Amino acid sequence: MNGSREVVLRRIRRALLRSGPGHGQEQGSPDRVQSTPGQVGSTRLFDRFQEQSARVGGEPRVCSDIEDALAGMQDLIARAGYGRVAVSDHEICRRHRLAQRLSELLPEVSVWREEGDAETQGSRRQNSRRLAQADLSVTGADFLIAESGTVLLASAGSSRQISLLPTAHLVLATPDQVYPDLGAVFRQLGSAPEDGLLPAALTMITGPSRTADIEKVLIKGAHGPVRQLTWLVEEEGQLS
Amino acid sequence: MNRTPSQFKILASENVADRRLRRTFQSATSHALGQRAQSVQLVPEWEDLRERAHRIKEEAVENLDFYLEKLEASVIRRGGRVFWARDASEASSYVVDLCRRLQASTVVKSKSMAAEEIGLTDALEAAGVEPVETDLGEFIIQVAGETPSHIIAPALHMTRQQIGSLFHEKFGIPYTDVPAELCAFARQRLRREFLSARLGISGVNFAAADTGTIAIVENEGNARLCTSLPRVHLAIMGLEKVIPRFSDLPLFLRLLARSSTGQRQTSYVSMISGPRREGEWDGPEEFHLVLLDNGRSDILADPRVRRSLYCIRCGACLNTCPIYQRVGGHSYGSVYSGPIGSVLTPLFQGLEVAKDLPFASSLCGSCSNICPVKIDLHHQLLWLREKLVSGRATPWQERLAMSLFAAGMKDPALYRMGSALLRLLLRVSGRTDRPFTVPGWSPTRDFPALAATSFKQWWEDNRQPGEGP
Repeated sequence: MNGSREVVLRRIRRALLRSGPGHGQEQGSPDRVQSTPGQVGSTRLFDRFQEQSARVGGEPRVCSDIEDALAGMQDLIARAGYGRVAVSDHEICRRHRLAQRLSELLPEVSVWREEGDAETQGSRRQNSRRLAQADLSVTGADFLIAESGTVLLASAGSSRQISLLPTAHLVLATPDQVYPDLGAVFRQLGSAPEDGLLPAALTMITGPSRTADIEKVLIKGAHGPVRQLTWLVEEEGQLS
Repeated sequence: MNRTPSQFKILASENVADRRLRRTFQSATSHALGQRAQSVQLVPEWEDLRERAHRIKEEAVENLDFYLEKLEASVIRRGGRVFWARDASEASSYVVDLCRRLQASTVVKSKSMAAEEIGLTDALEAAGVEPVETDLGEFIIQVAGETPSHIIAPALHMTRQQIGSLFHEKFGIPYTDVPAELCAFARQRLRREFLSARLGISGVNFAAADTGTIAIVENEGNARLCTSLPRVHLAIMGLEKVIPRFSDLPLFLRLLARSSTGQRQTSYVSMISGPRREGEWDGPEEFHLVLLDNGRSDILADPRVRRSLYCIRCGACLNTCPIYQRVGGHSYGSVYSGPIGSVLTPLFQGLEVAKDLPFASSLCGSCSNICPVKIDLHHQLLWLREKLVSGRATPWQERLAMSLFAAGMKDPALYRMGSALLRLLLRVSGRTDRPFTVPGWSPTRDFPALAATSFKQWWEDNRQPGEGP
């Protein structure tokens, strides 16, 4: 709060030819959050997500169950020669003891779980430096958007950096997490998000990091992951 | 590289003469337009979306005080801090003071037109703080000591060879003109800065008043890095970036991505509501939001140009403008170029300084047609012209010619006399196009050739008896 606050507000009110404070149109017009038709978790949405994710380079893949996903990861890590893998503390990773299973399957690869004391600055900084060295990160997701092939991650579920610093980022999601569009996700977050349901950071990720700043040539992996993979684990969801 | 809007004519002539630069801008803008058209085509309700966005912006701007106070309250409720800045120097001082308190010697910065507008990086440098631009295009032009030539693609005017030589000279790396290698070098170099900087500065695309959420739209991931690694995050926004509701965001995100790059969705959208919460792994401990006036309340005061505050900085009007396509972004001598720049720069910097910009338009209206929030840009340009003309900013010869023309058009006798006089002068001067040259006007405009006889004369000569009046 500072002295210029009143000055700026006074200028605005004078410009709007108003003497006192204004008021918004709080009633809100209907249909502000529009939605494409389709039900949450439906096969149609599931297919649409895959189609759109593939289009933006999100490397979608359907895994029949977690064992299938683990085999896929083993293959991915070996093929790409990844040596350091970070696993988030998302529910899906915890439930299947993913970090432990991966390090058993791949003893030569360094696998670690993002966990422990986040409350000291030192440990947070160490986490960043470690993540910056990671070749691959594996996380869950909070929502998927069918319309654009987007993955949404809330800062409450994992660090913001685990999906950002490693060379490749693999998302493990379930079919019931697919929503038609952003409007539907927002409705899920609550009609009154000011009540605190909104996390400090909600990040939409649509394909890998990219730039076209040099002669409009498309380059992947400008600052974030070079590869963005989204695997849907079928058995996990309510589908089927 | 200190270009000013008053140099428009000189800069534009230079840039038009540069064939490589013209080709660059023509191909880049037509590529961007093609991409946009493709992605817009997939949205049958596009016109409806534009109309809705226009109405929401109208609601926000017409009640700006209300929504800004609401935004402020929401940000504070979420543990953030809000600073109101009257002008550029107040905003810059706040950032400099923050750097001093944090003892930050370097700050990482993602793209922000507002920061560009107030010359924030210069202010930081003057205070002994090193501002590191992290958007690849911004990084390139910062190293080159240049200014952005496009809102979305700041280094649009540079070739890969120029960038290769630049990196070779400044950083001593082996010369390469492979874009991917240049990008990889910048990535590696900037990673170090991200991991050590104490302050991250970002812009704001939209700020939702009801939740205090700021949305940042990008493709590279540098804004995500700026807002999650450093201990403190400062976001700077023009007053007009506020939107009433969080639930308005999906609409604006759809419009922005498609209008700017033709993407259905950019790689990343960060929706940030305050600083890190307890128990979260990372994120800044402090969140500062700077609300920048810097002339915006003056724009608000003129209802005829008020709608220029609806702008979401997508750059579509630049791409579609036949003038911008040919003269490029640097000709405008300001951070805002193209049609929206021709409106905003005179309003921000003064009509006198930027008197040529409202005329840097064919008034074809393509900018108004493409604008995702339906700003009637060409009308605004016309109104600025009117202001300039009534403010006597045009040459006296032009004013004289125009007043003679106006008098002639109002009086049939004067009109006949005038056209007879012109024909006489034409015959005497032995020219076919125009009887005389008007400096500063004739060389760039075609004068319609006068017919040998006037229509009235022709009618008199050819009329059959009994026909017509």
